[in-house]
Amino acid sequence: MTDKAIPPCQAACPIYTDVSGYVSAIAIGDIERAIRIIRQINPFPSVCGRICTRPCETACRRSQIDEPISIAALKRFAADQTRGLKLIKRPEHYYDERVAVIGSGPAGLTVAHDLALLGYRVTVFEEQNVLGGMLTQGIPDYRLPKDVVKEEVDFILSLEVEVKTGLSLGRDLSIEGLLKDYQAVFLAVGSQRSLLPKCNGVELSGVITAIEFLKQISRGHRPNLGEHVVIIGGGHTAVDAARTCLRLGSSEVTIIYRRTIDEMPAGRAEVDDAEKEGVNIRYLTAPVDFLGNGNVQKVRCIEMRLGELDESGRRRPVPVENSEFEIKADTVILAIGYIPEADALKDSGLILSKNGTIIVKDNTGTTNVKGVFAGGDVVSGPSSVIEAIAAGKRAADAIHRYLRNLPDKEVEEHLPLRSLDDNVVKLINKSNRQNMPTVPVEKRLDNFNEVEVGYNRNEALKEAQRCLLCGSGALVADNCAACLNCVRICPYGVPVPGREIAEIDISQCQVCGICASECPASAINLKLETREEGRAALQKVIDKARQEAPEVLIIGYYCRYKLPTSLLDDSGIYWLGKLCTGRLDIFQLIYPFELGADEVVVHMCKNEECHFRDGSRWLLTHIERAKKILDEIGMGADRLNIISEEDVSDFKKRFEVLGINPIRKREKVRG
Amino acid sequence: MIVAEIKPFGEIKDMLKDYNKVLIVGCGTCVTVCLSGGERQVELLASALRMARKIEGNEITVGERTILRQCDPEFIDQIKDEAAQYDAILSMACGAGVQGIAERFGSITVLPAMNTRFIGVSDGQGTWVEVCAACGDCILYKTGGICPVARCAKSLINGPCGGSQGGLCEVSKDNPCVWQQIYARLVKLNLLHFLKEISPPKTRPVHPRRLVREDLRLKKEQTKGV
Amino acid sequence: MGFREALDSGKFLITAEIGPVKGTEIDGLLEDAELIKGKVDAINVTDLQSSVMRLGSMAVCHLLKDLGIDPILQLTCRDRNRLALQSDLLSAWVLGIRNVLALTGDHPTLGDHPQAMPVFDLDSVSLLKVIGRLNEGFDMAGNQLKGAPDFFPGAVVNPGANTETALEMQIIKMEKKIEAGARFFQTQGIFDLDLFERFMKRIEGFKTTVLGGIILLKSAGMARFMNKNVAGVFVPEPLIKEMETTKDKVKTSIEMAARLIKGLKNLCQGVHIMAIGWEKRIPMVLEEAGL
Repeated sequence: MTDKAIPPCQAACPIYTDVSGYVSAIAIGDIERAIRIIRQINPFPSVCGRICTRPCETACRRSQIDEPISIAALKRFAADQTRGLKLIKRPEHYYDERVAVIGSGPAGLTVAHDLALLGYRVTVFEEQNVLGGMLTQGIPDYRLPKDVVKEEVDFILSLEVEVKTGLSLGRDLSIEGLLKDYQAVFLAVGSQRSLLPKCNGVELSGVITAIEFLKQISRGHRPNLGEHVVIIGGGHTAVDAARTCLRLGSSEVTIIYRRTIDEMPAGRAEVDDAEKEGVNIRYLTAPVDFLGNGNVQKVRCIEMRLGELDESGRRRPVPVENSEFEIKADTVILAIGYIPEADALKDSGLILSKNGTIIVKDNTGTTNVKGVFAGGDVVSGPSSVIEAIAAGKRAADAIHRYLRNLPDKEVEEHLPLRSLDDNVVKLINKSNRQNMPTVPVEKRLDNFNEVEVGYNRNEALKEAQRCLLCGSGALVADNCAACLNCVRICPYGVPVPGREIAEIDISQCQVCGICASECPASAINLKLETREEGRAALQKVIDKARQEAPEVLIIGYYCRYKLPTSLLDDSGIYWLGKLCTGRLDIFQLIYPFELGADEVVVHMCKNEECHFRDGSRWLLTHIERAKKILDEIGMGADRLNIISEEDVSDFKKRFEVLGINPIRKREKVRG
Repeated sequence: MIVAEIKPFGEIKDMLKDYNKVLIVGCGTCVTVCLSGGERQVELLASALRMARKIEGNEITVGERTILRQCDPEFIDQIKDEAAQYDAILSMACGAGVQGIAERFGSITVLPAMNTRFIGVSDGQGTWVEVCAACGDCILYKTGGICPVARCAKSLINGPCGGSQGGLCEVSKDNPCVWQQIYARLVKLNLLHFLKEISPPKTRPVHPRRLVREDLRLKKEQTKGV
Repeated sequence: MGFREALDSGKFLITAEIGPVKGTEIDGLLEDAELIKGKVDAINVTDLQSSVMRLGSMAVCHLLKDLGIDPILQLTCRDRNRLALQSDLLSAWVLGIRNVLALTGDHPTLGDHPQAMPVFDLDSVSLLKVIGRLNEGFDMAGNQLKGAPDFFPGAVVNPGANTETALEMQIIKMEKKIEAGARFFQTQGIFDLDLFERFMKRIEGFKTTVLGGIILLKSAGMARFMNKNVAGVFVPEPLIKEMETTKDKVKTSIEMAARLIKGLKNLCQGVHIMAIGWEKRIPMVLEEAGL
C-alpha cells in the first residue's frame, strides 16, 4: 500500500473531496471547519448534500461492517448549519483576460466560480431567465428547493461574475463572435433535447417530454394531467416526473421501465421514496404504441425479458412474444434519454459525436477550436451534478493554464486505500447509520416542500462518528526501534514486523492511537490528532486557564466519541477532547501539573462502550503509571482521577482536601 | 538485547541533588526496545524531575536527548557540544552506555538512571526473560538450544538438582525447571545422548573481557623480511 | 567396622543424619550422636542445610570421629568454588573423615542469607570426579598432590521426583554420578514402597548401593507441608490419616518408620534415617524394625 493511497470515498468522488476531513470535523462538532473543507473544493455543498449520486457512499468501507456513512447528508448538515457564513475571500487582483461561459448549470457555474477566484472576469450567458440549469429547471423543489440553489448561485455571482440571460447560443451568440471579446469560451449548454421512442402516436396531444414538463413546473405552472399518467424511462428524471405528477393530483402514476430495478439509473432510495408516495413501477415493460384520438388515452405495452449483454454492459431487454397489454393514460411523459440541442452547436466548427455531444481532447474539456473548452452534459451526455462540477473544475484549471501559458497539469493518481481485511472487520464495533428524517408521506403530496428534513446536530455528530477515518491512522517514523510493542498491543492486529522497523498498514489502521501512546521511541504519530497537535492543544488550554486564573485549575480529558455532555458545561473544568482516551499518553497526564494544573480528570468510557477496543483498559494502565510518578515527585497521586458524569460534586469537594498544586503555590508566593 | 529498568525515582532524585543542570540522554537501541530508556521515558523523567525539584523549591534545568546507541563513541559525540552546557548527564542506557558517555566526556559527571538487568528476549508484551549469561563458552548445541547457565538458578550443566517440583524451579515457582525443558527438547530432537554425557566444569570468564579481532583491523605496516 | 567396610561386607546398611546448630552449642548434638553410636554404620552431617548459615559439617564430622563414629561429610557446591572444595576435602581427610556425600546444595535464596552469592562453580557430578581425582593423587588442574586421600564418595538421588521427566533425569544423573565415582546413594525420604520398588526396578542394572531414605513423620501437618514444599517427598493420604487419628504420635511415627524400613529391606541395600530433631528416637525405630 503506497502512502499516496487516499480514503475510498475521496478516491471515488469526481472532485476528490476530503470526505474524511469534513466528516471527522463534524464528528467533534467543528462544523465551520467541515464547511471550509467542503467549500474549498465544491461551490455547491447544499446542492450536493441533497442530490448527489454519492459515489463516495458506494465506495465507503463502512459498508464492509454495516452500512456506509451518510456522507451527503452530513455535507448537507454542514452546509445548512453555516448558511450565510462568508468563508471565501475574493481575489486581490484580477487578470486582464475575460472568459465567457455559455450555460449556467453546475458545470458552467463551477468554471465561473473557480476562474473568478483565480482572478478572471467571467461572463455567464444563459438562455433562460433563471440560473442553475437543470438544478433549477430539472429537479423539483421537493428534492432541491430553489432557494438553496439560489443561495449558492448568488455566492458565485458575488465573486464579480457577470450574467447575461435570455441569450442563446446559435440564435443570439456565436463562438466566433464571443472569441472577439473573450479570450476563452467555456461551453456548458447541457444535454436537454429529449429522445423520443419509436412508437406510433408520439405526436398525440398529452404525450410530453419530462424535461419540458419539469421546466414548466419550475416556472410555477401546475398543469392538470388527468388521473392516469404513464412515465416512460428509468432515470432520475423519470422518477422526478412521476413524483411531481402525484403532487399535481394524478392518482394513477405508473413508471414503465424496460429493465429491472438493478439496472435502473435512478437511485434505489429515490425509487423507494417514489413507491412509498404511491408511484407504480412496472419493470421489464416497454411501450409499443400510444393510442388515442387526438388526445392520448392508452399506452400499449409489451413485457420484456433480459437477454445478452449489450455494449453498455447491461443485459439487453428483449420483447416477450404475445405479451402485449394496454394501460390507461391521460398523459404520457417521455424520459428515455437526452442529447444536446443540435442547432446550437452546428456551424460552430466543433467536432461532434453522432449523438451531438462535443468531442474533447481530454478530460480538461479542451476542444479542437483554440480557446474553446467544453464540459458537463454537453460533453458527457446526461450525467450527474458532481460529474458536471468535476468537469467544470478541470476546465477552469485548463483555461487558467491556457490563458497563463502554463504547462499542462500533471495527471494525479488517486488510489483508494484497499478494502479492510476480514480479520479487522470482525473486530470493529457495529453501528447502523442514522436515518434521514423525512416529512411523512401523507404530508407530502399536496405541496412541493422538501421531503428530506436533514439531520439535527445530535444525529449528524453520531453519524459522523461512524466514520472509520480511513487513512488518518498511524505512521511509523524512521526512529522506530522495532521493539514490536505496537505489534503486540494493537487491538486490531494491524502492525507487523518489517525488515527494519514495524510496519503499520495505513489502509487497515483504525486510528485508535494506542500504539502511539505506548511507543517507547515516540516514533508513531497519527495523521489525525498528531502528538504535536495534542501538546499544542494542552498548552493552549492551560494558557487560557492561567489567563482566566480560576481558583482551581482543573484540566479534563474526554473521549470525543462519548461526550460527557453534562460535565462539559461545568465551568470549573478546562476540557480537552481526545479521539479515544486510550491514546492519552502518560506525559499528557502528568505534564498539566508541571504547567500548574491543580487536578487532572479523565472522563472514562466503560470498557464495553469503547468506540474502539481496549481504549479504557489502556487508559487505566496509563493512569496507574502516571499516578505512581505523581506520588514519587511529591505532587500526590490523588490529583489525577477518573470521573464519571455522576460525581461532579465529588471532585469539587476533593479539591478542598488536595489544595493548590505545590508548584503553582510556590509561583504564587514568589509572584 | 540488554534488558534494563528505570531506577526508583527517589534514588535518581537523590543522585541529582547537587546538580542544577542535567542532560537526560536516552538510548535508542536495547533500552528503547525493552520500553525503559527511550525517547518517551526521557520526556517523562524530565518532566517528573522538574516537578519534583520545583516542589522542593530547588529548580533544575533538564535537557532531553536520545541518541541511537550509547555504546559507540561516534554516536556519543553527537551530543558533545550540548553536553558541555550541563553539570551532569543522566544516562538512560545500560551500564555500558553510562560508561560509554563517561569515558567520552571525562570532565562531566555521568549518572545512571537505569538498573541493567540481563541479556534477554521478549516473553510476551511487557515481559522479558534472561536467556544468555554471556559465559563465553556456548554449550547450546548439547542442551537443545536452551541455556542452563542462564536459565537454571544454579547454572547446572549436568542435569537438574533434586529441588524441582512439578516441573518448577525450587527458587521460584514462577520459573519452569529449565532442565525439564531441555529434556523435553532433547527427546523431541532425538539428542538425549547429550544429556547422558558428563559435561566438564566450565571455564569461568575473567573480567574485564575484551575482544580484539585482528582479522578485522587494518594491518600494521609490514616490517622488513616478512 | 567403618561405613566402607560395612558396605563391602554386604550387610544391611544403616545411616542417620544430624544437622549442626546455628552457633557453637554442640552438647546436645554430641549427646544424640552418642545415643545412636553403635546402632548405625555412619552418621551424615549436613552442610548448611536449607542454605541456613550454621556450624560447619567438617568440624562436627571431626568431633564424631573423636567419639568413634564414622562420619559422612556432606559437601555442597553452593558456597565453595573448586579451590575451596578441593582444599576442604584435603582438610577433611587429615581430620580423619573418610566418607563424602557430594551434593549440589539448595539455592541460597531459600535460606536465611538470600542475598548470598550462589557459587555452583562445580556441580555434584563434577565434584564426584574431583574426589576421584584427588584419590588418584591429583588436583583438578592435574597437579600432583603430596599425599593423597582415599575418600569413599557417595551421592544422592531423588526416586520420588513427581514427574516422569524429572524421574528420568534423576536416573540419567544417577548414572552420571556412578560414572563419576559415586559408590553409594542415599535417597530422599520414602513413604510409598510401591513407587520405590518401581524406581529400583528401573535402576536394576546399576552396580551401586542404595540406602533408602526414612523421615520420621512427626505429625499430619508436617506430612502435608512436605507434600507441598519438599521436592520428591510424597506422603500418601492413608499415612497422613494414621498420624491424624493416632493418640500417640511418637509411637505411630516410630511404627510407621519401622514398617517402611522392613519394606525397604527387600528392596535396597540399606536405610538412611533423617530424624529431624528426633535423633534420640532412632534406637527405638531400629528396635521396632528388628535391626
